[in-house]
Amino acid sequence: MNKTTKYIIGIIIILLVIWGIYSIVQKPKEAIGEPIKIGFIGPLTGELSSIGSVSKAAVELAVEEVNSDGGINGRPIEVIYEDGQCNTKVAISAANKLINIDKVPVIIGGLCSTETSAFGPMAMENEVIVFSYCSTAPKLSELGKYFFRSYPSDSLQGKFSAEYAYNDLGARKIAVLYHISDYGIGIKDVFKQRFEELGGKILIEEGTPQDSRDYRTVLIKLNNLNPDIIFMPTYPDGAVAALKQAQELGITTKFLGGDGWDDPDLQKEVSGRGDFIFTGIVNSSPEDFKNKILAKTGGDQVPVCTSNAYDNMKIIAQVIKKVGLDTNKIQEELHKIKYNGEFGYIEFYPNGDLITANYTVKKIEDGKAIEIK
Amino acid sequence: MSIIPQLVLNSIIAGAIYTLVTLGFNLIYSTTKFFNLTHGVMAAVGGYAFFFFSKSLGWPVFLGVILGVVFAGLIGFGLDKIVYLPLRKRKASNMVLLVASLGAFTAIQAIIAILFTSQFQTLNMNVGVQKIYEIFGAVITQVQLIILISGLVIMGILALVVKKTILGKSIKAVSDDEEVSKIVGINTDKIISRVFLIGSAIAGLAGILVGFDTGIEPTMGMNLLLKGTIASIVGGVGNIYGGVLGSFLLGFVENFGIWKISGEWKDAIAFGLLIIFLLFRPQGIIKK
Repeated sequence: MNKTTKYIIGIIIILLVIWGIYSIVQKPKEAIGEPIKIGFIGPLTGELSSIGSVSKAAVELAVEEVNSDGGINGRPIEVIYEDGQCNTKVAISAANKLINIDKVPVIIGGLCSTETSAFGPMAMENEVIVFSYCSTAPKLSELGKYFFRSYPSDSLQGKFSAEYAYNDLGARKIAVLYHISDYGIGIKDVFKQRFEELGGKILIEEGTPQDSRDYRTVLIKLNNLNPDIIFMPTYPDGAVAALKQAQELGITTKFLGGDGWDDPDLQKEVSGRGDFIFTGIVNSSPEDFKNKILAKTGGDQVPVCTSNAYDNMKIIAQVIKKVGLDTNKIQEELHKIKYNGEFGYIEFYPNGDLITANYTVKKIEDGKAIEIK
Repeated sequence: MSIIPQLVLNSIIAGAIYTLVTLGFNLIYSTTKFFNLTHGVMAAVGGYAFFFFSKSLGWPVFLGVILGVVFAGLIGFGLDKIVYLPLRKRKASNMVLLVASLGAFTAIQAIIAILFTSQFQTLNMNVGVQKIYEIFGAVITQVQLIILISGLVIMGILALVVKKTILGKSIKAVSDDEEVSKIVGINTDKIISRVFLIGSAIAGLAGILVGFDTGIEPTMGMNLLLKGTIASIVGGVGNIYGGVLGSFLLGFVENFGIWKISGEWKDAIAFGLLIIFLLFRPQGIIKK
């Protein structure tokens, strides 16, 4: 053994001893007054982070209010925020940390369906509550009894979009461009089923990967069939690229998106480049709530899902206060809840889906979205 | 809009983007003989350097482009000096160099994400008023035309440099046989670090131009690198014209392929082409 190796082993031993002493000293602290840890997953960087970061601010606001009101039976809430990046792998490792290291009873999130469907099954196995504030994929309803969402499933949105396209826009022939993800496929399938039921015709369905940035050939392929409108349930980053390319190619067909386009960054980028509308949830949050959020973020918009994230935190605080930290009891109590929050009325079906939902149609104009229906 | 001309043009646009990546990749590969993964992230370095100088600091576009290209070149040069040169001196195998370049790739990508977040950013300065040209009823934007012209011009310059200058002849000598080049008195380390400088600068330009066309994100490098590699292998590794031909062939195969079958097959088509070439014509279209 040479000198360097000895030094390295020596340092490792010293570190181990320090760590050992530290963890022994830490132990007795676990007593009453210890914060209750709750997990949060959402995209804080990357795709949809413009929504995720505001949702995080909304949860922070809710936590501040609960804690300044005495916390949960004297114990403050501490939320551990993890970045899911709207990405399967990242969301799984985030949830792994929350479940196995932080041992949270509840995860508020994820935001993207891609995130929630990735870590959902693991959370169900560990009997951890997953309470999403923004995930819409219909198949999430099958996750299990620990899954809830305060944002309506796309089985409602897909239906609404199909009816709007058929009845209000008078569309009979539609071309579909979707992202191959739980979100894109989920909403597309429901849309297609309902639109065909109504008597419309789906001319073509083209799927692309979520990170695709070259849509030129797919776009002319779609437009070449002369559809009345192009239905495009995609996440926003890809949509920015695709809608710009559509304008460059001189495509003037109306584009109908889903709530994935309810993203301030997207609206700034594509505004004025064509006839773009999208369906989204009615955002009827009271003005004073919006003002509180804007004061916290310093931004100029309260995006979709903000009020849901806030309500989720408030509901969890209320439920834990009543039944404690046993996730089976939390789950039973959540199924009974009837809550009037900043988002609206919240009550769940047995599968964890919201029982009511109101949709609206928005048009992208002047760098933002304006309600037209 | 006419369909077939537009398809051809879409293929050419895609091919031109791949060309910019392939040219630098081929140059570095033929000289150093190792699979330089960092080449992809150099595109992101260039794009983000431009983003920083021109969009954040508001400097003129022209200056931003030059700084972005120079910056990417210098990072490539620095990587060679700090990482690859010591490894080569230690006679590390190409496998070790490949792993080191993967490490550098991941690290640089992560640093960009930390500095600029991984948000998708667009670089266009003039929202909505891009000049559009019509050719046989098909459209091409100004940026795409610039990409195409830059690709061809760089190809020409590289070919000239390799043929006519001392540096070019030395590069050729090193890529033919590094040991013999050393014996005849060529400073191979110096030549290789220059190759890194030039190759990375071209990748940086590719990143900036792709940013103008669609947008930039820290992870943009991997996709560009994969397509650049396919083009390079299909065209003939180490051959300037071969790389360009491979890029355009790939662009055409991809775009005409998804015209007939669904768009989700695009990447599968690209890699299918690669496998066909590896099996039946491993030396590529033009043998070096």
